[in-house]
Amino acid sequence: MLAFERRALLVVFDAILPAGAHPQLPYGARDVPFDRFFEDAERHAPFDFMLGLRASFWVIWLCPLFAIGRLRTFGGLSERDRLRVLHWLQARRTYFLREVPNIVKTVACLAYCGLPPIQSAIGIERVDATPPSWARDLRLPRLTNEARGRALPIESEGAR
Amino acid sequence: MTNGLQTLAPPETGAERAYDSDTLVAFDDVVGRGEVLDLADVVIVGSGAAGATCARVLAEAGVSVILVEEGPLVRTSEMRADVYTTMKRMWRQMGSQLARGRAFIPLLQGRCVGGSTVINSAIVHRLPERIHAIWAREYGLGEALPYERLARIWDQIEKELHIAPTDARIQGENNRLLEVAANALGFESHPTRRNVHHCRGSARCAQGCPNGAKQSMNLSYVPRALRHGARIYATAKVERILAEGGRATGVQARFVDPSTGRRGPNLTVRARHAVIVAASALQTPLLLAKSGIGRQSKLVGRRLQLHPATAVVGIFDRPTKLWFGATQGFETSQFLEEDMKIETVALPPELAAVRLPALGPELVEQLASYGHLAQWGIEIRAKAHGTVKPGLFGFGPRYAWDAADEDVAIAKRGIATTCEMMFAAGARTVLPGVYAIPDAVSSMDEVRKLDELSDDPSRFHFIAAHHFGTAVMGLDPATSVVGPNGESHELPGLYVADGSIFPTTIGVNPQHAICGLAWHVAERLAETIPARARRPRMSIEDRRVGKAPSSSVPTIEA
Repeated sequence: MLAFERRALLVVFDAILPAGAHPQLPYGARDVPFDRFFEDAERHAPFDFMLGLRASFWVIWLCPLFAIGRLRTFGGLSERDRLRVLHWLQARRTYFLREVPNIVKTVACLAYCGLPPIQSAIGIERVDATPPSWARDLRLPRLTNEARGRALPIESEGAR
Repeated sequence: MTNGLQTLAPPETGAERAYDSDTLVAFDDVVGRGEVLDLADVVIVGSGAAGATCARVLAEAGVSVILVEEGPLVRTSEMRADVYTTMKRMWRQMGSQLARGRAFIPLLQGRCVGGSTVINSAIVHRLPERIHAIWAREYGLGEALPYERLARIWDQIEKELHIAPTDARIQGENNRLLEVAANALGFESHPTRRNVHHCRGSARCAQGCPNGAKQSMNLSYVPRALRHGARIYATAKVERILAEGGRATGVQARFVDPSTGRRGPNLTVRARHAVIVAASALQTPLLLAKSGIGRQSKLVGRRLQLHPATAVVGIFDRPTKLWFGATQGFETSQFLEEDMKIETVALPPELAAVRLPALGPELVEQLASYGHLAQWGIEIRAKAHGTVKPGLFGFGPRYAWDAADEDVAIAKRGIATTCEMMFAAGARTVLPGVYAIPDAVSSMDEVRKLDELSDDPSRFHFIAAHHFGTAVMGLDPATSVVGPNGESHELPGLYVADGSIFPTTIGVNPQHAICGLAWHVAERLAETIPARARRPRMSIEDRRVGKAPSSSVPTIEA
C-alpha cells in the first residue's frame, strides 16, 4: 500500500469506528496503531485480501460526488457526510458496491476488536492479555469509572 | 472460577509431547539444506479429519506412515484470542478464499497440523441415515459402504475422542437461550455433541482451543499415529502426485515458510503401497488436476457442494456474555428434513462486528453491547453444484458456486425461523442480516417481508466451512473419481479419503462423517497390505535409540 493509501484508509476507519462514541467504549480507530497493522498485513495477507481492501478504499475515497453530490474526496468531508457516504454505499442495489463498506469494516474490526483493551472495554471477562504481534508494545490504560464518558488514547509508540 | 468448573480436571496437553525432532520436520529444520527424501508404506497428504484418521488406523495396523501437511504445527500454548493472529497462522488464505457467484462466499478452512478440526467448533454428527440411503439408492454405495460398518467405526471414534453432549456447566447463556426458544416453540432440540475433553467453555473454538480441551486432530489422532511410528512433515505443500508403471508411487512437495511464503527445499516421499490424498474438497481436486488425474471421468473439481451458512443476531436486555460457554453448544434438529439446521454460534468480537449492520457511532454502540448479544446460525444443505479449478497465470485457484433458488428459499425460511426463536427467547431487537430488510427488527411483522424478496443470494451474507463432492465416490468409473474403497479408478495406489468423495451434501457438520469414511478407506487399504510387507512398528523411544538425530531427515545435499 502507498503511504497515502494508509493515511487515507485511517480516515475511513475513523468514520467507521469513531472515538468517544460510547462511554463504555471510548476508544476509536484513531487510537489503534494501524500503521503497524498495515505493515503486518502486507507481510502476511494474501494478494486477494489486500487487493480487496485497496479497491474498496478507492471506491469510498472517490465516490462522494455520486453519493452526496459533493466534488470532494472522502477525506474532505465532514464526519457527518463521511457517514452519509458509507450509508449510501451500503444501500446500493449493486452487490459489489454495497459490500465495499463491509470489506473495510471487516478489516478495521479485525484489528480493533482483537486488542485486549478493546475487548476489556466491551466487557469480556478473562481477556487474553497477549496482544497481537503488531500491537506488542501497546500499554493498556485501565478503564475506570471516572474515565468512562471521555475518550482515552491507548498509549503506544505507533499510536497518534 | 465460576460455574462449578473448579471441579474439572486440568486440560490434557500431554499429547503434544509426541511432536519432537524425530517425528516432526518443518521448514525451520531443513531451510538451507538440499532436497529431503523419505520412504514409507503409505504417504498421506493432509493432517485434518481425514488424513489424521487414516494415519491413526494405518499406523496402529503396523503400516509405516508419513503425513505431509502444508500448514505449521501450532501448539496449545501458542493459541491466541485475537482472530487476526489465528487467521495468519491457521486459516487458509487468511479466510479470503472465495466462491464466486452472484455473491462472494468465504470458503473457510484450516491450514495447520490438524487442519480445520483445530478451528471448528468440535461439532459431531454421524452421517444421517437418510443421506446414506440416498447414496445407496442413487450412487450404488449401499453394499460397499454399509451403514452398520460405518456405525461401528463411529462407535470407536466416539470413545477415542470423548464425544458427548455439551456439559450443562459450560452451556453459557447463548446456548441456554436457544434451548429456551426451542422449548417455547415446541422445536426438538438438544445439547450439541462435541469432541472435547474437560472443556472450560472459553468460547474460543474458532481461534484454536487455548486449553487443549478440543480433541482436534493435532491433539488426538496425529499424536496417536506418531506414537505408533508415523512421522509428519509440516509446512510442506504437496505439488504433485508421483506415478510410475501406472501406479501412484509418492508425492513431491516443497517446504514453504508459513509466515513469509519463502520457499525451502523440495521434499520427495516415496510410498511403497499407497498415496492417500486427504487435503479437503477444495484442495484435493487441485492436486489431482495438477498431477494429471481425472481426465477419464472429467469429474475432478466438478460437483463442488457446500453448506452455506448465515447468522442472526439478537440483542437482549439480559447479559448473554458470549465469551463464556461452548462456542456451539446447542442446536435444534427440528428442520433437518427440511435441509436446514439451526444452532448457536458465539463469534468472537472481531467476527461478530462483521455481522453488525451499523457503521460509525451506532456500530460502536452495538459493539459495546457485545455482552448482550446472542448469535445463532442457519446451515443449509444446498443443492447447487460448483467447480474448483487451478488458477491461471500464477493466480490462485478459482472456486465457482452459486446458490440455487431452492437454497435461497431455505435460507429465507431459516432466517425467519431463527428470528422467531430470538423473539421467543426474549430478544429486544433482532438483526436478520438481509439486504432490503430493516437492519434491526423488533417484531415478526417486519421479518415477514422476507417472503416478498426474490431468491437472490447476494442479499445474504453466507460463509461456507463444509465442502464436498469434488472427487466423488461411486462404482462406475464414468460417473465417479474413486471407488467405494476410496481408490482412484484411474490410478491404482492412489486413494482419496476426504469430503471430496462425498456424493452429496449431508446437512450436518461433516467432521465425524469424514473421519468415518476415512477410517473405512484406511482399514480397507490396510487389508490389502500383507503383514509381512509392513515395516515393523517402532515407538518413538526405539527410534531415538536406533537413529542418530540427523538421520531423521535424509537429504541429498544440493
